[in-house]
Amino acid sequence: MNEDRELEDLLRASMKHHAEQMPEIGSVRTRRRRTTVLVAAAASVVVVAAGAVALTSLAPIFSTGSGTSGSASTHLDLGGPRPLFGLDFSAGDGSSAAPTSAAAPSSPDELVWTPMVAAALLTLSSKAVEKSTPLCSAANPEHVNVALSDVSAIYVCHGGSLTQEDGSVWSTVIVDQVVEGVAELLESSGRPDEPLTDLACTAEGYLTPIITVHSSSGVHNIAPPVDICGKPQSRWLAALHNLIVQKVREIPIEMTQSSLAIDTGCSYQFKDMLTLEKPAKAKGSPDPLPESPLTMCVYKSDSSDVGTLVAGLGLSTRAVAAINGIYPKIESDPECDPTDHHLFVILTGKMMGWVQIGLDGCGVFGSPGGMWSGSGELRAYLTWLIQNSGQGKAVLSQ
Amino acid sequence: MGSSGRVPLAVADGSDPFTDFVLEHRASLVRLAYVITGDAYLAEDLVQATLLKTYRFWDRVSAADSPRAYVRQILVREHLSWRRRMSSREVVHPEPSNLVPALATEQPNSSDREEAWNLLATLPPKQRTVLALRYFDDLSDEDIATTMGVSAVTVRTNASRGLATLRARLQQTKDNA
Repeated sequence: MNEDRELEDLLRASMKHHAEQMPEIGSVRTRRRRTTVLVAAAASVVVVAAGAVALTSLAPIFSTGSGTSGSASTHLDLGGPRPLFGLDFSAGDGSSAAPTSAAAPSSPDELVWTPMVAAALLTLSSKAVEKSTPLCSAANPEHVNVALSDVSAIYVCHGGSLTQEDGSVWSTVIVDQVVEGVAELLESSGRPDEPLTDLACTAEGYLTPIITVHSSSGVHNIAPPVDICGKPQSRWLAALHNLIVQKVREIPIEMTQSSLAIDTGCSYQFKDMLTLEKPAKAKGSPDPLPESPLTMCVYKSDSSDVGTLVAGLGLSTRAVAAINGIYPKIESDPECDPTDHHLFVILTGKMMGWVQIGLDGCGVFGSPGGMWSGSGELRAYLTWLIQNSGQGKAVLSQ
Repeated sequence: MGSSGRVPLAVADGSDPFTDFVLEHRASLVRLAYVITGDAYLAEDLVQATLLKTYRFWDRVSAADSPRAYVRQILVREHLSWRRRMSSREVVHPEPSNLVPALATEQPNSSDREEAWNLLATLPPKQRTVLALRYFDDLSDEDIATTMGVSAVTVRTNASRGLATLRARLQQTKDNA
């Protein structure tokens, strides 16, 4: 018993001593394995709070248009006032409120655009127009010290996605006007930056929306005051989180899914795999297609290696059998340049992956099994199928 | 999250209950994490992960009879969960400072203390966690069972095996000296 008591006392003393003598965590972690880098002592309070807000509320506003986004609506909807972040922290999934209902999309003349929004949306395109007096401005971000009485409006610009009446899906820029929470936002925006620490900080990134204050002294783009880690201060993030906004603009920027793609089940765009790399030429003939209904998607690629959908049609088992009948005539051709085509089809179905066939050039035929030179007979047959589908004129005249 | 479904980031007077909690308890949580893990960096990471989780479920934590006990439970379970996840790909070594022989100026029993600390690092995570909660945080076996989410019998078994291992190894060290 005495031995047990001695050991227990020894453990108590050892744990207490080492806990009191615990090594200080240095300013920069240069040692081993952890992905998280920490701020020592009380500073981590700020990081913890800010980090949680950032992870759960800032990210969703830049989840843009793949066509499956929950923020897509059937029509443009300016809607009523709503929280900027339609989040329920208790759910913790970061999902945002989905807008609904209708109005005509803004005309191109009403485009409100900034380079920062473009970057955030990853849809920078020539359609973007920098207006002389945009509602949101990404220029010269600054700490804004403006009296509430001088403010005429505050706008928040961020990304979204929109489903048009024809079913096509577009990435959009959304301009929200702040209707509640202005005072808190202004108060927190006017705070000074905290001095940056020499200590290491956690590594989460922040994508904050563009917030523009329109006042009697001009248009100001808010730069959030930062904490010791250079991240937006938690008070500012809290103010952002509590904003109530009203959508005033939603501008389609770039189509991410066409109505044709939705109607045909084909992808709106398809990487021209044959132009990316030259696979080893295969011997013999390609494996025959499964004799079941297939889909043929027709793509046109110009200078890029991405084809855009121009037609899509279903192939009957009879058509598939006919294609299989031509397969033995497909041979390897060492002179065939796989990049020499601008029109190609993708054959795909439930029982198979896909095969790609160039309709011009040397008619290269590619599948996961290798690459061949497509025979003239195969290309002629596929072209005939397209012409007889009623889509041929639109496709083959291009 | 309360009726509003939101985390109370700040209240009207500018204070923040979560921040207050962290300021009050963070240091003791880090010390507990250090005793459990034997690694200062791992302890910091563990507390950081624990506080992030605490923040997400702050309404539940703050409504508990003892928020500190609730957070300790999060910490311990997070640790054991980490250990499970990392066990196949990472070997945690004791801090180099723990391997430095005790200084001559320390108390006469300091070498035993150092030896006990180093031997603690060799115990399986559950045994070490039980001993840390029992002898550092002075919890009863029932409270340890609640904290770890196991039965009191499991706690006593782990404690008994851990102590037996330590006793045997300490004796072996003395015999070799």
